[in-house]
Amino acid sequence: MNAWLSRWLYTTNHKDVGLLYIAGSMYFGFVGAILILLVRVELAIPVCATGVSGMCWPSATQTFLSAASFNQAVTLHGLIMILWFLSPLAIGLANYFLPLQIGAADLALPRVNAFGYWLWLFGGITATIGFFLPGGNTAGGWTAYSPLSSSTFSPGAGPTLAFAGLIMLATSITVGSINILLTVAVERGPGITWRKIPMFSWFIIFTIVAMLFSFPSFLAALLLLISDRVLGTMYYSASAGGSILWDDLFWFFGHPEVYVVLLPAFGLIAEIFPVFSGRPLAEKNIILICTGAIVIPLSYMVWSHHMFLTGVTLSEDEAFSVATILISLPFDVITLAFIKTLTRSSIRLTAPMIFCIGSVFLFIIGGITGVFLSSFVLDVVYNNTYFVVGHFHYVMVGAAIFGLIAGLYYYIPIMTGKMYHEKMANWHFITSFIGFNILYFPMFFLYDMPRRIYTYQSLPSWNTLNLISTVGAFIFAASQIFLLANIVWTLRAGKISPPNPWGATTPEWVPVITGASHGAAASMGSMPGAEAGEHHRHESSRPIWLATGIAVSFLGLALLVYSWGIAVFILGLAIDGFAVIGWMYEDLHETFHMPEGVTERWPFNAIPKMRLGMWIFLSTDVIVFGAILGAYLYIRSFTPDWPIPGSVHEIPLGLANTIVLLTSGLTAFLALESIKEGKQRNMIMWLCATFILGATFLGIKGAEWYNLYFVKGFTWNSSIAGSTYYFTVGLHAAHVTVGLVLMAYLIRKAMMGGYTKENHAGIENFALYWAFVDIVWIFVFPLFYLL
Amino acid sequence: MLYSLPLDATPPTVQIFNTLQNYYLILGGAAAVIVIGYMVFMIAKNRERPGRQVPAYHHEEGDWGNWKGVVMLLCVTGSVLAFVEYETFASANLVAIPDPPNALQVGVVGRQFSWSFTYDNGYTDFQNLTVPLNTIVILNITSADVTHGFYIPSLDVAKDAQPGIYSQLWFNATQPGTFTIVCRQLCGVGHALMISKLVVETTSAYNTWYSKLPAAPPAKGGA
Amino acid sequence: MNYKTPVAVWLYMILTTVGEVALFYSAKPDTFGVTIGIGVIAMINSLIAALFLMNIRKEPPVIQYLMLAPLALIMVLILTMLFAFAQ
Repeated sequence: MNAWLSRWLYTTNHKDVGLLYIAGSMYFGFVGAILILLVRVELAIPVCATGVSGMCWPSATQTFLSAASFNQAVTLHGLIMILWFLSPLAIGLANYFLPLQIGAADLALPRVNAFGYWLWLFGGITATIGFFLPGGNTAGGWTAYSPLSSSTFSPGAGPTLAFAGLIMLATSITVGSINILLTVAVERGPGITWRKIPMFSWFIIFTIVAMLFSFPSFLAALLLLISDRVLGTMYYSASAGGSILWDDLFWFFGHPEVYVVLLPAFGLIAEIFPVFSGRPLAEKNIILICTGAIVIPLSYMVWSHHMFLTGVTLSEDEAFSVATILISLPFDVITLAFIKTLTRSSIRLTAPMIFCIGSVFLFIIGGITGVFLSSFVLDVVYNNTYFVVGHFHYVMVGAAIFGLIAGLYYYIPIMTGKMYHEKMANWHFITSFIGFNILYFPMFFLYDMPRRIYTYQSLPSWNTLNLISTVGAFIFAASQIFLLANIVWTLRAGKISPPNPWGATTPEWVPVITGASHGAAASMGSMPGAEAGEHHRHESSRPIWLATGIAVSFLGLALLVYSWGIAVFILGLAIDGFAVIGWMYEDLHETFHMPEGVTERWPFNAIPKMRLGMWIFLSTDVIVFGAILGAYLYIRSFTPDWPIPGSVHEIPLGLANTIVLLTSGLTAFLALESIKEGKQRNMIMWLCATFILGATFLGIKGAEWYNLYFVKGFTWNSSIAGSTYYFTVGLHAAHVTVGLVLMAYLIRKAMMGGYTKENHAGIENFALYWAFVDIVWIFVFPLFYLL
Repeated sequence: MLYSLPLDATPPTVQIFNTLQNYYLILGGAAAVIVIGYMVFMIAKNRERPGRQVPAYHHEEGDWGNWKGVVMLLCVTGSVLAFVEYETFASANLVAIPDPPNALQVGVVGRQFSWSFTYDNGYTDFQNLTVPLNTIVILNITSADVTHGFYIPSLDVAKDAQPGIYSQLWFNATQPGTFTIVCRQLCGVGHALMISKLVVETTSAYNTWYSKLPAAPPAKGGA
Repeated sequence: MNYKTPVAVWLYMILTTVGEVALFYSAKPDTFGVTIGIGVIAMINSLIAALFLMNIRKEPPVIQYLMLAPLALIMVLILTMLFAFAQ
């Protein structure tokens, strides 16, 4: 295969993957921008026929976009911009620069990193396919409120594909978070203690912690949604509280996501402000404490302010209003600390610095309007109006994008080895800052205009403000041409940059760590890994195949409405099987080399890398199962006629199965104990016993399901009790199945003598996973069989 | 039809909202002007230019930061925020449902893509919500299909309409006339056109209108 | 090899699970006390499994917090959901 192509398709190098993320996010940013420009054209003037008493009754022929196209455009604009442009741009920069900043040779799990990228990319493509299908794409807003997002009100393959794309995204982000967190925990270069981690990396860590427990909740909500759509379960439709269930699970993810978008930009500001002010960052420790100890935990406890109007009790409104007010306090401190860095300084107004100043400027406006929205009384009027749209664009576009663009300019010398065009960058700032404010400031005055309406009543104030806003949108969009032109110019004609053009002191500019490659050396031109010399083989085709398989199987799921959909689904699973076996083959024969070196790892000295990874993974799985059990409890509280316990399920059978699973927990533990003493034969025996018990569990489960489904007629689409039972138990069974696959691999490797007294990490991680699966069942059994 | 133009006699809900909004606007605006102004001033003052002496900076290793300054900042911003939050709590009667004996109760059902209004006698109106002047009206809102957002801009009241959930809002119209009711939660292709009328009539006109309503409820509609 | 602890843990969990079922058959299923009893047994069992099968007791405290954090967050989520409409 062409070397260039195979490099970019099979790469697992963090710099390459980072560049791929940045390029991919820019592509999606372009798509999202086109979508919203169509929307702004539609909203420029109220196109309508004169109706009764001055009312605006639009006729379909007169509007630029139809209502259906308009709804799809705003929906996908939101999804793409937040999840496929903003976050990934930051993740791309993090991929590239976090390992450099902390002196790591690469991310802890390079193939998982590449897998995350391809899954993210294919997820984005999957989510946009719907535009080209009959019936169109999802059109219920990026928040996808149920029951509008159900197959009753949004039929067709398009929305299913969009939600499948979101599942792929949430999975990608979750594994990516685990990977980066693991890197920071155990792969730091020698001497990089926690206190020496640079600010950008710190903010990426905070971002990751905000993603770690929020995306699993989103994943759970989406799994329920796709199960509703494809299998016909009734989570969001049958019970009265279905709409609130989605609201809670969605916003439990959705609010931390706001900080996920914002914090990387803050990290870049904290990196760039001191460099261009010629002085250290003011109150560095206070900024870290405010973000890490207050913003991140609190970010998980304010989500209900998106639900002030849903009719939840006043006391809950009050509690979440206070929490929201509280979370603005650390941001006051952080913002003023940034501004304090500008005092007693000497400020160089070059592009990265200007964009950072713009970012802080716009964040102040976005933040203060956010305080308005914390009031559950003011929210009565502002909720779902252009005031909200203005507010979050000031934060997400203003603060976040301006900060990320500053980061791009700041790091272009490392990423390309060349210097960008300063004049062009200045014009980029001037036009985009002016365009931005023309675009979004009028929205604060449109606080009584509902968002997501494709046409509106002709009111003098609205007409002018909307027209101004549309003009601003075009200025802002056009100004981004300066950025693209600048990147192209830099690659083609840019002057070779000195190694440290800004006089920065952080490790990505000044290599102080032995072993870590200097940033500027491995730029886009040269092959990464070449300079280090000892990398054996740093490419793997498995990640892209695994992601392809998942994308194809989801495509099949969405196309189940056609008879051949099942074939596509099975093809996807086959590709996945091929990729997983290949991945395990690479491990068995150690053809893939993972970079390792001397590392700084307090307080994780005593714990091996993969075990820590397993723990982090399990902590995210706690959220998935917790959210799904929570959904079950919540729906039960809304459903008066729940079947009497014991009337549906065979309790003795359930008890027997529980005993089987608990016994397998014991045998898995004994397998681990055996290998700890070096008894390989005993370990293989215990592992085989575990495998048989696990398979028995699934077998009994299958018999139970057969009986319930075909004999008793207790199906997942007949009642909400059936839906919750099959979904929860099915998810657990899927975990058991994954455990069986892992065991097959472990037994194979053990027979090759792969585990010894000293080296038995695989067995240890599996034992952890299996015990966790046991624990989940300890809750599932009484909840579904006895209570 | 009036959207949100000022009313002669301001309804209580609008009064509550405006008073509260003023606190936020004045304090928030002042904060924005002060902070942004200070930042811009600092940049202008400290920008690098020929002949400017770079100020000396004393950096102490292990400096844990200016906690005194932070505490002072938290006291100032914290008390401002506590004040506005207190005012929000004090304005909670905009969303808390009053319980006067003579309130008019009307059932509201949102559906794709219209509102319907059901009165005590079982009559359901699919066009207008008709209410008497200077009377507390309590709406019991729900949805027949997807989530909708019930919003009367001229009265500053709103509540989501969700299937299976009954939520309430109240208002007191203080001026006769015809006002707009819109849907504010994206509910499908007809969302933008999901518009009804609020008709406020004098008490006697309302009573006349109400007494002429058909006694038997229509077959469709209702919750 | 120390078989005693894991086998004792296993036996305890089997017996208490049988106990759960016995508790279920002993009284009317929807009695509040039975619900609480079964819930407590399940929680103790999961705790024991975490402590002795996952060996979380031997991990550094940071791992213990890592597992407690999502539990606390999910409790906040579930309680908020359950009490959203409670008067």
